[in-house]
Amino acid sequence: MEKIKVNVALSGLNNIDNPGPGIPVIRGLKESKILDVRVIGLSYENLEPGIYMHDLVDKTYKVPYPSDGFEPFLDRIRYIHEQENIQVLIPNFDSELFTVMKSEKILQDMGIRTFLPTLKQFEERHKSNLPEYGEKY
Amino acid sequence: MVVKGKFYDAHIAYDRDQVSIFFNKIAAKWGLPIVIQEFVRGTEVNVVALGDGKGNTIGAVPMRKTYITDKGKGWGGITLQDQTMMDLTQKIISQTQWRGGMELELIRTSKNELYMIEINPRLPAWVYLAVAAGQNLPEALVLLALGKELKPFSEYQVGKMFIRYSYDMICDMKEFEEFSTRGEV
Repeated sequence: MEKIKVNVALSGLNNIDNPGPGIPVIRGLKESKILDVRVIGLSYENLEPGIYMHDLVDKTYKVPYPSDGFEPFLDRIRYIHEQENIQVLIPNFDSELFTVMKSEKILQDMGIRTFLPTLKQFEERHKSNLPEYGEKY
Repeated sequence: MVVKGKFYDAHIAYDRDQVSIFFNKIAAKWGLPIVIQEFVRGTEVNVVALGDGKGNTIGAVPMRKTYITDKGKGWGGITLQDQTMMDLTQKIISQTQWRGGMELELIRTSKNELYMIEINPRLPAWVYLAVAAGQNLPEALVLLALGKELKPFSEYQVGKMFIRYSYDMICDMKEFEEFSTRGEV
């Protein structure tokens, strides 16, 4: 069976002593027997090890911090999308999830798919809400 | 008590003064709110799972941390056979119609009670253990994002372990310079 070619952009390339999930996620994708994945790394810092792991990451782009706001982040994603045709985006940092969830529709219109919890699901399970969450579910 | 930040950081405080110190420290670094709760002694167990957004659990693998660093992060872990953790995961995913990756962080006490300490709305850094145990959850997540219908994983290998290690990767300064200046490499 021919593998499905797909371009996946993801963050969390900080494979340090307290690692982000990026590299472990990529290892799973690269071992897929169904998918032929081109991995586009999104990095916040110049020394995230994943940037230099060319056997796992095909190309890496620096991205602005989510705290810089929606627009700088989306502008950069738009540019990367023009170069790479991102089909799926996997944000791997807690701090960027909200920005990507909020931008889901814009990303979808650009042709970039995500598979994330809804904002309601995201907000409900915050540590500070866990007692109510436990009672509700 | 345990004093926790909204996204990151947690400290065990043994008296009122320590609670204040950690509260201010975490608030200064990560902002509010701060969670202060009873410290539950026990073993840290986690589940990595993937929900399809329609109430189905596509995959779930429970794990016990076998080595925890001074930062409180898992440096080793082993997959478990644990029906209670699986039932809890499936209940949460089905009742919330959870969409995407998820990590449940739990404490199991010596009386075998489970306390939930956190739900992370993404795949965790130890997700490759699930891949090695037979559930390629990153692959499944991409297939779901592409709109494919998936059958849930029905099994995983119990007793698979991960042991994290550090490694000195060698690279050229030219590449570092290129990434620092051009923002891509």
